[in-house]
Amino acid sequence: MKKLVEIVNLKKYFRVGKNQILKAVNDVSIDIYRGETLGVVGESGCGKTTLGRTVVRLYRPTAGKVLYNGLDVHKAAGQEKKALYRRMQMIFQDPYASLNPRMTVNEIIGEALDIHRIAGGSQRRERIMELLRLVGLNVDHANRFPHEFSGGQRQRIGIARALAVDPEFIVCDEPISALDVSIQAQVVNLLEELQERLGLTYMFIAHDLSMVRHISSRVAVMYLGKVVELAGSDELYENPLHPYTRALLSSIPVADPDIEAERRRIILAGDVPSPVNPPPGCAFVSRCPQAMKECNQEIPVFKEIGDHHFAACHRLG
Amino acid sequence: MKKLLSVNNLQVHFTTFAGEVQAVRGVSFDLAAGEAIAVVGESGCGKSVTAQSIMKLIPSPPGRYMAGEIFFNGENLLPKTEKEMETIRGKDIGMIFQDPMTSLNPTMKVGHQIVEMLKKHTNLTGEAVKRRAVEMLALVGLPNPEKRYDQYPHQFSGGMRQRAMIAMALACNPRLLIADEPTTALDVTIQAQILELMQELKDKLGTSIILITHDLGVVAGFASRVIVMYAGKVVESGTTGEIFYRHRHPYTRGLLASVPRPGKEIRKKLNPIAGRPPGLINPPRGCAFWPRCDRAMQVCREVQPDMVQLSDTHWVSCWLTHEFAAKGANVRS
Ligand SMILES: Nc1ncnc2c1ncn2[C@@H]1O[C@H](COP(=O)(O)OP(=O)(O)OP(=O)(O)O)[C@@H](O)[C@H]1O
Ligand SMILES: Nc1ncnc2c1ncn2[C@@H]1O[C@H](COP(=O)(O)OP(=O)(O)OP(=O)(O)O)[C@@H](O)[C@H]1O
Ligand code: SF4
Ligand SMILES: [Mg+2]
Ligand SMILES: [Mg+2]
Repeated sequence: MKKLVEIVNLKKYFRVGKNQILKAVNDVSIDIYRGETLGVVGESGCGKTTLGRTVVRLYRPTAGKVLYNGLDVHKAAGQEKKALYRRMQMIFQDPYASLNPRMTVNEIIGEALDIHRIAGGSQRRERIMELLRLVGLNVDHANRFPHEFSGGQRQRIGIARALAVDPEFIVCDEPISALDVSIQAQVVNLLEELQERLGLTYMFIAHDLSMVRHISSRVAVMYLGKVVELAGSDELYENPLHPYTRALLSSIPVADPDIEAERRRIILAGDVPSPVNPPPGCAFVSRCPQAMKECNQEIPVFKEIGDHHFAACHRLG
Repeated sequence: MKKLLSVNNLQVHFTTFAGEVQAVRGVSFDLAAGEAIAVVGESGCGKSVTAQSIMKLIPSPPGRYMAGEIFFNGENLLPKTEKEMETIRGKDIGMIFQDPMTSLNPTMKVGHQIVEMLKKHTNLTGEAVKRRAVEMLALVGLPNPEKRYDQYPHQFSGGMRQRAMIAMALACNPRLLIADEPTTALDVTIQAQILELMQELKDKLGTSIILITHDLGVVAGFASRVIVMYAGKVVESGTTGEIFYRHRHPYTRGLLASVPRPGKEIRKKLNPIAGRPPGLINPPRGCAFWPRCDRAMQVCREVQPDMVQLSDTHWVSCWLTHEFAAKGANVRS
């Protein structure tokens, strides 16, 4: 398979308060292959959204780079930059906040077309209708405002807007967390259909680990700004190596009372450290049931442990 | 087991510009002492309004209790005055709200908020109050409880705030704990810690629990009985086994079919329920689920199905359980 996106030693720091630096993304390297779905999981605040935003050029990195088809996305200029804007899109975490409440659906999607001068005149209207049909909305939805839709429909508007410019790569940032289960399933089915028809590549950020396994070919697990494990999705779920991933997977609730009655959870004690003052060694040390002395002192290296299976832990290899 | 709570035919409406929203349309259920039940159902189906009614926290206006009774410990709560309710809230009934920031006071140190609560509802005084508050913070698994006692809510992370709220809800050993989506914003490792804590309370102190959640996995692991709501009504209720393996209502079936299957079948195409729930200003005359139901019959559109009892614990409201409904009937055009 061919690499589409290469994230290389990416860092994104924020300045918070006086002389305090928050390391939201702290040295992340991942390749994303054409046509695949890379799942990204990890607890609230571990840097998933910041990573996604930096990849699609909404943030400038503090250090490191992102290559798209070999091109450094943050250095691109002129025509190249314009082309990148079209190829990389993002569906935002909050469907309520990301749509302008004063614009109709027609205007929201039309705006994206106009910026890139994609379709004018009668073509413009046709293209909008085509996009609405593609995401399962219909023509009479075009003149309505965002607040007149349900959460799931609003999420579809966001998807239609992202698709308007014919992207190849879409960062889907928790596209389903705000929805209830039956609407979640509607949106996930739609994303899968579109991927099949249009050959899209996704970075899929989510909290729901069952859904991530369902949709992803590979999964990256983040903890406090770092990727701690990366593997094919079946491999990761069947053979997790990092203690955090193990705890995470052992805690996935399964919608089956008999399975739930049988299982053993790894219950972690302790809290997530602050990204402003991360511990000097392994970020997970404060909660890790297997921590050793060196975990407090040295940052474990992220390396290949099994076939295409990467992890960062002193206990491994 | 002894009944602790009994909700009978609860109806709650809200007045809005668009019209009268019939948020809760005749909800009934019981809860035994020491029992943990879950309430599930689509967004907007009335779960939070039902829970807030038990605490008598519905703002009025725009809300109104139209009918029904809520017996807690043998006494009907609905006719009680605000003053009487204040002696019950926090003491006999604790509540964890959907959004922790709304119930913690941002201007007051966390420890102090627990102390206020204890002073109001217990005989504890002086040092004993503080000791108890610190004890509660430790009990919910906050590291450094002495230090946390002196901090403000904004100095806590999301997960810690949630736990502080649980500490407060539990400080006076309530007999009933209502937890409204207590873990939705948290990652599964923190979620597991909190569920474990609630389970312990139930086992050690015999606290009864009502858990509201849309995570069917959490329901499967936590509750012994499940109440399924749709459009302001209970459509099915039963033991966790009855609801997951022997459900009879098409909505319950649709809800369970929407989540990814565990294990090898995980990649199978998902099966959502098509369409959306009806508006509650003009809910359908018959069964509220008929416009989305693949087995609806003519009668479903016209007449509301009664609640039918299938076992000691299993109740369902669907015309398909009627003896005249043909097996597999699908009369819809
Ligand atoms: N613009 C910003 N300025 C300062 N700090 C920020 C900013 N954006 C994010 N952060 C901080 O960076 C860290 C990572 O945040 P991010 O939103 O990427 O997390 P996340 O993994 O997406 O979390 P969630 O699951 O809650 O969406 C957090 O500690 C957050 O508070
Ligand atoms: N103050 C209010 N004014 C008008 N309508 C209201 C008010 N509060 C709730 N409602 C309506 O009552 C219905 C039930 O709301 P409720 O909050 O109980 O839903 P829920 O089942 O808890 O949903 P969710 O899963 O999204 O939390 C909804 O249709 C809601 O719009
Ligand atoms: S009563 Fe009719 S419409 Fe309602 S769930 Fe049963 S079969 Fe479907
Ligand atoms: Mg995020
Ligand atoms: Mg609610």
